[in-house]
Amino acid sequence: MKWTTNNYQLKHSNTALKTIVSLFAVFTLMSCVTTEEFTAANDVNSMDNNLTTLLIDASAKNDTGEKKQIAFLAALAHESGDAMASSGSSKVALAYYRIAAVAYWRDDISSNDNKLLDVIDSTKVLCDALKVEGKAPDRDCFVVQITLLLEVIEDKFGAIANIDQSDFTDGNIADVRNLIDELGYQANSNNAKSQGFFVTFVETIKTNAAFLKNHPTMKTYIVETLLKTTKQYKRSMSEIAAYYRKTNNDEEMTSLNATHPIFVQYGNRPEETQDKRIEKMIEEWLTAE
Amino acid sequence: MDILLVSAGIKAMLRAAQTGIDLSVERKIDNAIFLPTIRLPQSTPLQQVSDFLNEAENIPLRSQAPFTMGWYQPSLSWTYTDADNSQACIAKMLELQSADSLIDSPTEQKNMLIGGRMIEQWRNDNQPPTAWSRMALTLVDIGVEFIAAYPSVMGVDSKGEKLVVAFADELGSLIPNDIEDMGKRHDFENRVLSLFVRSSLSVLAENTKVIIDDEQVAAIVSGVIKPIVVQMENSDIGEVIQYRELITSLIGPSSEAIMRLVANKAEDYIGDNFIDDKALSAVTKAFLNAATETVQSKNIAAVFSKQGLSALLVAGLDVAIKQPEVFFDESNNIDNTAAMQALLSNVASSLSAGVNDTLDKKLSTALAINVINAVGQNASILFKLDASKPWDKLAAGLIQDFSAELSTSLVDGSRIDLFNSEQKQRLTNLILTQISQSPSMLSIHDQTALKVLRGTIAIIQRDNNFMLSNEDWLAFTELLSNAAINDFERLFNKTMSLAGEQEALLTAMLVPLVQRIEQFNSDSAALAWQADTVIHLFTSTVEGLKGNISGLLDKPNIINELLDDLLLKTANDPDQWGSDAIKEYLTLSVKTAITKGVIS
Repeated sequence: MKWTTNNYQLKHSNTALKTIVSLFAVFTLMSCVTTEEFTAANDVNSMDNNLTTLLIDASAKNDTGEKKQIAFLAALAHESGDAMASSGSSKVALAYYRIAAVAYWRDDISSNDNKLLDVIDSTKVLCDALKVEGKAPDRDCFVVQITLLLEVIEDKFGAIANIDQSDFTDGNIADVRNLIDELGYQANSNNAKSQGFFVTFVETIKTNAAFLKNHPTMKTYIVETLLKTTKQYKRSMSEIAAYYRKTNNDEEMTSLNATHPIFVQYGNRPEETQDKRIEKMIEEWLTAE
Repeated sequence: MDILLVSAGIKAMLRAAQTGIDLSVERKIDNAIFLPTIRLPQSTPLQQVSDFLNEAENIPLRSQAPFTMGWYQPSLSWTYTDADNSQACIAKMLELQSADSLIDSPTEQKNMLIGGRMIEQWRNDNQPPTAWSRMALTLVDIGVEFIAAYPSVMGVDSKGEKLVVAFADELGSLIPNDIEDMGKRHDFENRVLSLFVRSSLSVLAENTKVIIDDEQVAAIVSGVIKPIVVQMENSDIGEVIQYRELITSLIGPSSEAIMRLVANKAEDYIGDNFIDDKALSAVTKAFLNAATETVQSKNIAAVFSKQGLSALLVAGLDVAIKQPEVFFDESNNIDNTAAMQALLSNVASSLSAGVNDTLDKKLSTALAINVINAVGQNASILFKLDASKPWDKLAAGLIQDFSAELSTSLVDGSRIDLFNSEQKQRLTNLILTQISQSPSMLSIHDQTALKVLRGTIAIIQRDNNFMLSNEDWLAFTELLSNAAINDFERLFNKTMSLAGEQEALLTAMLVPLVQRIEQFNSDSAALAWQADTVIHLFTSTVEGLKGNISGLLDKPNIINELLDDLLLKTANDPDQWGSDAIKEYLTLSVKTAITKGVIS
């Protein structure tokens, strides 16, 4: 029996285990082991606190001062994560990578996107290795995995919002369509385009449905994110579809329906409000086998 | 011990070193973190119309003008039709929304304000074990902290390391076999434990000669920590909140003082480090019960103030460490938990009754502490001297009498009132400490200590012109308390008639002396009585009163006559009378005057 994260469900209902746990505290001190990881863990706590403050400040003030500090924090965490990974402290490295990933996502500096990709790659290597032993930290591995998708989804919806939508024309509706395809495109065969990022996000969630079922705080976060993104996706899709109907563009309408199954799925639902329909869809995604 | 247990223990030992740090680190990196929510563009006014018509209460509006024109049922969307209709729809929506705007803010706005969520590290089926690992990790954490701050305390094979090991060995007595039984005390127990571990290590850090051994740690865990955490088990949530607050302010500041008492026990009683956990437990329980009790519509913690109650707890535990049989004696079937609680309640009652507002909380509490110390340390002897006067009743009576006497004396502008708070505390403590050196005086002679206090104060109060400093008067108080040990009966109980009034001998002698000297100092430039000379006069007089006083009884004014004579002599021949000469003269002549009734 190892004292590892995958064995945490141990029930300590006998004196033998009580003794063991007491002993581990005892011998930890007696061995006078290195405190490098201990110091790094304190550093992780401190960085997390700083990042939280910066994120909240940045959100409230909406200026660039905090963004620069977030970018600096991202670089620092990235570097520390690499150092801990090199010294074999995978879990601490992953905590640093998680901070770096969230910070790179929220620094809004596009030239840092490739660094986020580096972090995701490094995280994947460590998480895959730890998963074999059943030791991969649930939250940190999952969060890093979704940060890039969240950033891209934000970017694409932001780009759609920048197009003048007060009076659609063939020209600007095509621009919206291209962007919405980058989010929701999905075809069974003869794919003309890559699968959309929003679809990838939904697929990622479906793949992790069992994990999320047992992780209440992460699940709540994901449900909220899906609600917001699906609603935003539906808004844009409705406007494009309305324009095609108005202009009697059956060809594009058919193409739209064929390549955006999530929107079709939404349209076929019986619920009376969009939120109810979306909630039901999310419920189904999160119960996917 | 089961062989499997031994082998499991050995395996744990072999890997515990790294595992301990691993788990400690994991706990830190497992803290819940803030994850920001995705930022999406705010909806356009036209999209807001669509969202508006998707609210359940607005469904009927979809088929009504002006909304019906742009409504598309399959996708539950309202989309742009033409400029006029769009404007009409936006206007209507705003009109309808404004009626509801004061009711609640839209969910979207609320979410924007929050901006993120706290996310835990582990999924439910992958959670670390809580109580055991957390408490063990707490010990590891504190140990590692001290390694960094005090390497000499926490090095390999050090006292600090052994101390943490001793606490680790006691975890078994704090955590029930079935962890579910821990209930509400889950985190609380961890906090209280860590408080005492830190305090113990701090005591070691400040004095490396100190020893706190395994038995003493065991006594603290079962005698103090366990009663504190068990007390919370049956409380409802409101009481739990109050209790946690009380413990934070009561035990927080006390824990270091308590561990210092434990350490001192080893230093003071070489060869006898035994600390009775049952006596500690009796005191702790009594305090916890009393602290939550209410007397005369005031909570006891409020009567003494939390700091005061904390100091009282330390005083009680001091007695429990030095004289455990006062609180718990199995062979004599004594468990004085209730008596201690009653003592606190009684004292709190009399204090909250507000005999006099001149007695502040700090002084009241200090008085109670001094009495508990004086009476508690002698409780066994007192019980043997007079079994009808239990120590708790005796202590309550003393506190009450002293409080009343001080209250009366501390009127505005009185000489005693000009003592600072610490000096007032020392005044009472000097008397109690000296008198308790002869325990029989606390018990057999009723109000012995009170009469000494009353007599001392009566003399000090006459010093209207600051003849002596506060510190000089405290030295004088010590002189009188010492004299009372052997000559209480004569000095404080025997009376003599002076100016038609019966007074205790001591006050009958010294009060007029104080007045006389003050008069000298104001009338005569020839002989100004300095503090040193005055103290010498008092000392000579008190010493004289301890001996043959037949001369004084024949001539009650003899000392005053002596002073008049001295004044005359110094006026006639000032060169001869330096302070040393005066003191030399007083030493001989005061004794002769008291013994023979003549001036030499």
